[in-house]
This record gives sequence, C-alpha cells and structure tokens, in this order.
Amino acid sequence: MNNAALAGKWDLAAVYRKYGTFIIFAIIFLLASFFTRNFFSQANLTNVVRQMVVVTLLALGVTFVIILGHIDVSLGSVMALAGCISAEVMRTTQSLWLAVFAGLAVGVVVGLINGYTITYFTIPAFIMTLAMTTVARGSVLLFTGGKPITRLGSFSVIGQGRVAGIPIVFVILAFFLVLSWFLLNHTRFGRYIYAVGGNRSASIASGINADGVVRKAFLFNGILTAIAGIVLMSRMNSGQPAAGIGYEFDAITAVVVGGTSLAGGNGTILGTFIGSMIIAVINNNLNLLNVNSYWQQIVKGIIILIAVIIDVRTKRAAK
Amino acid sequence: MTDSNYVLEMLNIVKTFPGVRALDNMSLRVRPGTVHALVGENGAGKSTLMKILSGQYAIDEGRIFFQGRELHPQNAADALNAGISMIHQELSPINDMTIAENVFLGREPMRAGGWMVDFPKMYRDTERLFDKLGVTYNPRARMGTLSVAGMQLVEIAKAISREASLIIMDEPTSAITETEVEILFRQINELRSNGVAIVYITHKMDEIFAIADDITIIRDGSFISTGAVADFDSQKLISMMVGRTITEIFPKTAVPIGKEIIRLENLSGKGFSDVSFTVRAGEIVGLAGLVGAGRTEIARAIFGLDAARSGKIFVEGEEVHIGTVRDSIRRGIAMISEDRKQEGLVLQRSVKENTSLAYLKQFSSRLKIDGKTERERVREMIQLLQVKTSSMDTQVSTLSGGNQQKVVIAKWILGDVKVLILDEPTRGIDVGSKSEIHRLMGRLAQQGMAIIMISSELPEVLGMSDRIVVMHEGRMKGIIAREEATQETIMHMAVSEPTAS
Repeated sequence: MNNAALAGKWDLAAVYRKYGTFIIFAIIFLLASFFTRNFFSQANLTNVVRQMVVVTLLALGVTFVIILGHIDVSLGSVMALAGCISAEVMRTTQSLWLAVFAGLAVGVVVGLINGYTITYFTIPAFIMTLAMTTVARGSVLLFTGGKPITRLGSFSVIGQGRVAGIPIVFVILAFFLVLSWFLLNHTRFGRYIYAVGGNRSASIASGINADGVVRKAFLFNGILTAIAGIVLMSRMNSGQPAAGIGYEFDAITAVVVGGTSLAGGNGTILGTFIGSMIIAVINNNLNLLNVNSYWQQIVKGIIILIAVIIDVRTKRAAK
Repeated sequence: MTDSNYVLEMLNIVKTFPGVRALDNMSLRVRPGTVHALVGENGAGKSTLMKILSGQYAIDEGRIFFQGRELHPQNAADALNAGISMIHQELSPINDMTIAENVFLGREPMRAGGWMVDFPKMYRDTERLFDKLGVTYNPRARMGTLSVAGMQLVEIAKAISREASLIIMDEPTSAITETEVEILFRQINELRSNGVAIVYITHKMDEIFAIADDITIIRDGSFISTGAVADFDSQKLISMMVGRTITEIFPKTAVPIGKEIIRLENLSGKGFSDVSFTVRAGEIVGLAGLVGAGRTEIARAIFGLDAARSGKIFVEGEEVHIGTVRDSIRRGIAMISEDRKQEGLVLQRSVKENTSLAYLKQFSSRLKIDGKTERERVREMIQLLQVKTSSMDTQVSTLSGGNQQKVVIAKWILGDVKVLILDEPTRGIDVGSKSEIHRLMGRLAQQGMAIIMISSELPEVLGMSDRIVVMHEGRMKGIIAREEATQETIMHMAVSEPTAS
C-alpha cells in the first residue's frame, strides 16, 4: 500500500466517475462497427434510435426515482396496461386524443398509488412496485381477455408517423429528454430530488417536504411509463397485453450504466441518455449478429452486475 | 509492577484520535469486590477508557493489568474471555428472541456434535441463573416484553453467566425509574459481596454516594484524583470535574439587547418538560446541562423536528404553532444541528447546492431557479464565512470539518433569520474555525438576531452567553446571568437533583 499506487488508483476512479459512461459508449460503438458490417447504415441507425425510444422514456422517469434512492420494477407491466387501455379507447372512440389521454390517466393513477403508498406506509419502493408489477399485468390481461386489441385506425401515427420528415417518436423523445433535464437541473423539484436522495433527514431539517418530493417523482415516472406504453403499442399498431416484459430491466440497466447510483443522491439525464444508447446498441448488435435471444438476456444481466460493481468500487476508492 | 490489592490496573493510558488527545496519562485502579465510580464531564474520556478496557479501542501507550496478568484486549471477545463484561448505556437486545437466547447469544450450548443448539439446556441454565439472582423473568419470554430495567438485569445475568470478575456499567440508570434503580442496586450489592468488581459510570451525585466504594475523577483525558468515597463530597467532586483552566479567549462583543424575539412558555415534549425562557434581540442564551438533560430535545421542538407536547412558543409577541420545519422557517427560526453529517449536509452534493437548499424559494420563480442570483448569494456567503473551498461546485464531503460546519451555518444565515439555534456549533472542529464561528455569532447578535446556543463545553457556554439556562433531567434548574456564572455554579445545578423553587 504505497502512496503512489493509492494515488494512481484514485485518479483512475475519478476519471471513471467523470467520463466512464462516455468511454464505455465509445468502446461499444467501436466494437459494433468492427463486428457488424451494416451497423452504420442509415436504415440501421434510425432503427436503433427508434428502438431505444421506449426504453429511454422509461429510463428518464425512473432516473428521478433512482436518484431518490427508490426503485420501480413495475415499468414493463404498467406500460402494457397504459398502452392497452389507450389502444382500447382508440378502438372504441377512434379519437387519438382520447386514446392518449386515457393512457396518460393510467400512468397518473399508478404513479399516485405508488407514491402515496410508499410514503404513507413507509414501505420499500421495491415491494410496492413488485406488487404493482403483477397487479398491472393481471389488470391488463383481465381487461383484454388476454387477446390483442386491433383495428386501431390512425393509432400507429404516433409510433410510425413523421412530421416534417422527422419520426414523431424522435420529437417525443427529444421533448422529454429536455424536460427531464430541465426539471432536474433548473427547478427546485430537481434540486430536492438530489437532496432527499442524498440525505433525507438533512433535507427534512432544511424544510423540504421529502414525502411530497417522492410522490411527485413517482407521478412523473408514471406519466413517462404511460407515454412509453402508448408509443410501444402504437408502433405495433395493436394493444398487446403481453408486451413490455423485461423492459424495466433494460431501463434500470440504462440508468445505472449511465452513472446514476442505486444508493441515491447522484445521477444525470445525460448519463441516462448515453446509458440508453449503450443498451440500444448492444441490443441491436446482438440482433444483427443473430445472437440467440436467451443469450442476450444473460449478457444484459452481466452488464448491470458489472456496472453496479464498478459504481461501488469507484465510490469506495473516492473515500 | 502489579499490586495484588487490585483486580484491575490501567496505568498511564494514552489514546489519540486524529487531531484529539482523548486520553493522556490516565490511570485507574479497581479493588476486587468494590463499586468504583468513574466520574467526569461530558467528553472527559470516560467512555474512551472503558472502550479500551472492553477491547473496542487499542491503546497508544500505557499498560493494563487484570487479575495480575498483563492484558492486551484486541477485540470485545478477548475482554469477555478475560472476564470483563460491559453493559452499555444503549442496550442492543434482540427483541424477537427469547430471554434465554439473548443471554446465550454467540455461545449457545450445542448438542449432536455441535450441529444443533441444545435448547433444553439453554433454558435450564438460564432458569438456574435467574434463580440464583432472584430474577423472576421467564427465560422463554420474548426479550421485547421486558422493560429497560429488565433488559439491564438480563445483561447483568449474562455478565455473571460469563463469570465476569469485572463489570462495566455505563450510566445504567439513565433510562429507568426509581423503583427499578432499587432493584439494580440490590443486584449490584449482591455482585459486590460475591467479589465482583464494578466500574460504574454516572453523572448522578446521589447515586455515587449511595453505591460507590471508591471514586476516580477524570478531566480532559487525564487522571485527576482517586480515593474512597468518604473522602469526597459533591462540592469537592464538582470542582475537580470542572476545574479546567479557560485558555481560550472568547470574542464576546457587547451588543445592545433589544426587544423580545422568542418566548417559550411551559414548553413540554419528549425528554423535557415545563421549560420557559425568553431570548431578546442581540442576546445569546446558552443551554447548559449534561448529555441527556433535554437540551437538544428543546431545540428540536422549537424548530419543528419533533412535536412539542404542550406549552406555547411566541415569536415577536405572537403565538406560533410549529408542526414542521417549514413552519419554523416561515417564522424566521433556523437551527444548526449537532449532527452535521446526519442532519446538516447532503454530503455528495456541492457547496452551492447545500448552501442554497433551505431558502431556494428566495431565488426561484414558480418555474425555475434563478441560477445567477443563486451563485451570487452563495458567493457572498462563502466570502462572509471564509469557507475554504476550491469552488462552490466542490463536493461538500471533501471539505474539512470546520469548513463543512461553515457551510451549514451559511445555509441558514442566507435567509431572513430572527432566531438562530446552534446545537454544539463547534464540536469536533479545528481551533481556527472555532473562533471564527464565535466571532460570527457575535456579529449575528449585533445584527439583532436572537441566538440560542447548546454546548457541552462549559468554557464556551461561559464565554459566549449573556444568560445561561441550566437543564437537569429534562427540567430547568435555573437561569444564571453572565456575571454570576462560573463553571462550578453551572455544574452544581446540572448534576444535582431539582430543588423546589
């Protein structure tokens, strides 16, 4: 344990903490271009971004929750519930606005239930959202009778349409990226998210309504989950009650790979965005390389494990 | 080297922590079959000494002899095996286990070749032990069903079952009632007559004279005096405990005292009752008392961190109802907590974010934070308090203790504060920052703030306060004016039983 070695180790940790996500992204991008010939084709890159929209929307919402030191494991099934209710309203009314409104309402209700139950009964968010996972999935299967909802008219315009040549999903993604960044960096709400996530008792002793902050974060997360669900169903032009399984895993992995600590108090929207791109590029390449989807799950499991280990190690080194 | 008259000899013990000499040439000699009271002020080093004896800290210098043999306890197990048991002030029983399971925790009798716990034997042994001690609890009852005193008796039983020849009791009566104290004392007498030595830490004078045979006094980590209890009276004890020389110069500035800012009327809450005093503009009122006298609890109730049970609080003559910290902030009350890391700072965030946290509203519109004004105000505060930081975006955890404390103070004086409560504002920080904080307190008083300061350091209380409220076991013992206050008068009020006045 000489000092030089310690200093070297610390520096590496500091560099990683600052630029780690970028470095990983660069490496994965390089590997992708090396292994996969048509990775850089415009068609494929557009496809990558299209595919990352849903996961990124989920990741943006859950970033707020994770910075607070909480978690949401119900994203996939809540997304299916919101998407299918939106699709059903579309089928019966043929009104796109009503359909979107109904989907959002599901997100709001779920977000409020999660937020209030967690803060009122002081139960772990993991347990609340674990319960919500099966409640939401059961509800959507009950609601649809397990069958896909079709004949949705113009519903697919959200997921597949373009405005001024730009895919609408890109506009949606850009809007929520900027909104999330703005909320987290330029509003009191964002500042309180970091404070409550970093030290709840100090926040309360500074006059912050910590429970209120948690409820608002779950509400925001619920709304983004609903939007992700609408986008997903619209892209498939049908309400698929079994869709969305495992999406929470991709979203949480994106957030953690993006440098947000599961312990709370730290994290950025830029990090989550890059983390989402990393996940999207990995998914895309494994598909292009015809890697068996079972193997893909194993790979992603290992990735989140490594990301958390690195987070823990660099934090210990910084101390 | 050793003297067979003593069961324990701790000789010339030195222990340093980074920046602090906690023990300096401290000695303690305990005779077998006696109760030995170890007395000293808050922070005198009693607990450190006992933690060394029970193997939780290693010593830097000095020697320990126990039952004639030199002892080098490396951990709690070493001390236990040697025959030293410690009963901590804060007990940590496992409430969901049975009493017997708690007694034999970590050394359960085994059967089936060490694969299974021999529960019948465990309960039998516990029953036998309790019979011997005259304890009537059912060994199969859940630990959580006992009172604090009951748990203490179980701890004592545990120590006896380990065949301890020395038991350390750290303020065993701080959480129990009068009748429970009697039960405890009966057990102590029993132990003593069986030849067990007891080191008894307490602040309560009457207990010392009721139970102890010998006394050792410690002050600022050093040995002061020892002797038979008959050679002391409470007056003599107190003057020996507090006789520290005031070496620091306190920059107390004479400030014109203005109108009344805050008034407490018969305020009661968890840990204190019937507290009334006022603080006027420009005045610094010190809250003195021993640890556990209810000082922090009063502050927390005024600030809305805990709810007051009854009584009234007036700010500038108007009665206020404080349920949460938000209420008190709105009334212009601010509190700098004694636990900087727990309740003061969000350590992984920046100096700027920490400084602006409590009054963020002041420089934000409905929509967003005005980043420019925020930086300006934070820069002003950093300059005013001379916080040493490379930039306001530096993570606050990387700052020194003194600078961290300045950030906490900056957070509160950024706002429009009328009443500032400081709980141990200079604990654990360097001398330079300490006197800067004292000067700042003077300046804030000059600006017309009403300041309430809690401090366990008597010189600080004496040096900074205009008036001193002395607390004892949750009650006010009296208010002393600056001119009349000495270490002895304060300590005397802080340790003795409340008198009807």
